[in-house]
Amino acid sequence: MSSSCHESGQPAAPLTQLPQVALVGAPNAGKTSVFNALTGLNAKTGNYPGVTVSRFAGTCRVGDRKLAVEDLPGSYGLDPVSLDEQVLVDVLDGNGMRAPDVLLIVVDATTLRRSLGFVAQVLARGLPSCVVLTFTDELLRRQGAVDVDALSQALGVPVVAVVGHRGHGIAQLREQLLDWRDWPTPVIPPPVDPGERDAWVESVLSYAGYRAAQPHGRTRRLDAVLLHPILGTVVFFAVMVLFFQTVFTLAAPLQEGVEAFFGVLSGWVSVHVTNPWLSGLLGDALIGGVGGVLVFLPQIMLLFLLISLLEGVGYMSRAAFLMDRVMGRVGLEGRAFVALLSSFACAIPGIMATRTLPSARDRIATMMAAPLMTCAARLPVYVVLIGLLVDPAATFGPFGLQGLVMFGLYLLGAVAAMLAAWTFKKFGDRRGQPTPFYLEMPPYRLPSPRAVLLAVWGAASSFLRKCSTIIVATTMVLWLLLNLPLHSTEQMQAAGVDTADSAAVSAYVVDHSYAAEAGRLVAPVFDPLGFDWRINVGVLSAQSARETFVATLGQVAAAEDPEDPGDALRAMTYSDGPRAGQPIFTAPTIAALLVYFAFALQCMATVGVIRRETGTWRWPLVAFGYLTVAAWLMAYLARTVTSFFVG
Amino acid sequence: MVPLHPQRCADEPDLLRWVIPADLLDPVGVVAAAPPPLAGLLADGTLAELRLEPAAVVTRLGPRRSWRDQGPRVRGALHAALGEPDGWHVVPDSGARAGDAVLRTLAQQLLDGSVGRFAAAHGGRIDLVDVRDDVVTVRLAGACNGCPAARSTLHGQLEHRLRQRYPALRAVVDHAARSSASRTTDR
Repeated sequence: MSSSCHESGQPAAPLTQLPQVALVGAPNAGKTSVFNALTGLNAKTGNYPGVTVSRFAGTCRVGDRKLAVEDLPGSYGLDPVSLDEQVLVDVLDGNGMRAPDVLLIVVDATTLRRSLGFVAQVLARGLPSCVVLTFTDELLRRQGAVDVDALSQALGVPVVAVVGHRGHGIAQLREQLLDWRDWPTPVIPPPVDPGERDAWVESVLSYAGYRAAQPHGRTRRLDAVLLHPILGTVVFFAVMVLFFQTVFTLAAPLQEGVEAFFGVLSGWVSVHVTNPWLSGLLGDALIGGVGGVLVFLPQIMLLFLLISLLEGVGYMSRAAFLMDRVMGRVGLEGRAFVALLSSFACAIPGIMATRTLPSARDRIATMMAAPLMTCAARLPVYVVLIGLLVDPAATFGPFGLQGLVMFGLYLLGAVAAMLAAWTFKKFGDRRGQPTPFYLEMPPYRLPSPRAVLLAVWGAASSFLRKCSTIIVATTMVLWLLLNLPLHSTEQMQAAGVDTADSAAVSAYVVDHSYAAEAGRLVAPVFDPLGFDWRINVGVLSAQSARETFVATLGQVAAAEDPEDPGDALRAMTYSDGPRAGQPIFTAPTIAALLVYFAFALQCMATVGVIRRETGTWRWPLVAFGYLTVAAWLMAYLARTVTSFFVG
Repeated sequence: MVPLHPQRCADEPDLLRWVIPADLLDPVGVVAAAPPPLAGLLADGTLAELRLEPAAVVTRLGPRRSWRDQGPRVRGALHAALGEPDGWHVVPDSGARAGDAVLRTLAQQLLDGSVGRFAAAHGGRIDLVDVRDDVVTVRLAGACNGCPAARSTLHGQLEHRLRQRYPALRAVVDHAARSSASRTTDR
């Protein structure tokens, strides 16, 4: 072990040489609160080798020493049924990575009876351990009781009561961690035999004077309504409506703020940067591209805020329970609903949430469906295209028509996802064993603001990272492709371009650029959908990340008429081919484009996550293939139907 | 199966205290005969001694053996033997009041632990004065002295918890109250 490399007062010691403290416990036991309280905000997230089970590690300073602290995946037992639980067992075994030196077993005092089985399994491993008892305040409030000292005597290891979100007991825990080398261990490891283990649990509980908490009054009363077959469903739909209303209405003023900021910025650039190349690069590519996408930051943060609030309050598992029957229609279970709901924010957390599904078949079916849910990255595209398609003043009954079209697209995504899940479940791998549906209904709790903020911050920072890397790179490359090769003034004059008219010059440059060549190259594929080469460039660039489409269209339009990209799009006409001169953005084309974006898997990050979660290239390729084909077919259908109605 | 868990005994590593339900086996003393699997462990020297205490079986490990190796066997044997309470033959301790020593340890444990801390949190202190004939006498000090809630702490917390582990407990009394001759004998 690490005794030789541990030296107190050596803050410079690399993380791997510090004693490793690992937090283990059931999901919802308050592990993360304890972890946050011990490590503060210096936690690092990463992945375990080979799988996308998030790994949270940080350092904790006790006295003059430092300890490396790791938050292991939540689990109810050490007989792995899911990937997370397998990771937990691998870490404890030191399988492929260094085993921890010290364990903190986090146990929810209100579920002590059930949790002791897990404690027994962990203690049987013989590592120095300390039980961290959480939610003792709630136990007391619900007329329960437990004697912490007696529990410690009975278990044979130290027990510290902690109220994680308030920080109570954290000081004692740190003190306890100071001399982990002297912790008592059980004289005899707890029994392995299930009968003997039950007897052990019973005896320990009775010695510790454990009195189970009364059923949570508030939870019981709320559940009577929220899990009611009719009332509960009504409330569920109300929550969903409110959810999307909040995301769209509350975000609007914030988005205008971001827009205004970038407007000012680009104005400043066009005034102060005189070099046309540099000003084009900065104004069109950087500010136009990144700004166009950053506008959606408020919406994405709101989406994640609401999802983590619903999760923290405890409503998410109720929603999963209510949705179990609906999901059952397509052969999935309630938890798949949570994964799909998260996919409204982004398919990546949705696909990662499939880990909670015990059946591999369900996991695959859900992963194949998740990219169809309308993720936040589609929003920018939808907003721009719907703006072109529908007059903002048009109404249908009390609702704005634009909003209704948006709702329709969300519905389309959800229905398509359900159908996809059903298909993959039915015709997918048939060897999987059916697994029982069990779902923990945690009591309703006020979510810890810190955990919620951390979730929102994580989403925002990963979105910002995406903007500053993938999207900046794509827009820059695209800008270059749209502006190269260079044309001399003589060349342009020879082609009959009025070189004094800057708009005509940019139109000529773009029309003869490398990007245009690429767009024309794929034209045969997209011609039936009504896309011209400029849309093709947008669709191709959106293949890495959907939001790029908006930035690309902005660039193309701005290049043709830098004064007003919005109207420019509407006025854009086919520059060549049989339809030359006709407007591009007609209702059938926009409809086809919207539907194409609803289906296509234009997100390399999603492909990467499916690869990591399934461990093979097979499933990401299947997803990519079937979604692209479906996108084309459905877009063609949409175009045909819309043409029929519009005439 | 009978609920059962082992606890170490302070300063005596070869002793192990198996906590069992309080009402299972009655007398306090050395076990002279136990049902077969347990008797076998005594016979082959795995266990050197077997004693019955209130709500516990105390086992002494034979020489040159470790609990880690022998513990699971002992546990299995105990489970089997406790399934037949009639097969136990216990020689009650002479001198009658051997139980008082156990009671004293248990009471001190609680006063050093949660009950003591509870009192300390309210500015008080509870001292153990005497243990005799299954009666525990304590002195209420600090803020406890004269506090109307002290009585409920004494009976609700200390006496209740103590009786769980030592069912034969007759009473917990306050030294001051006892000297003024008003004994609490409620059970």
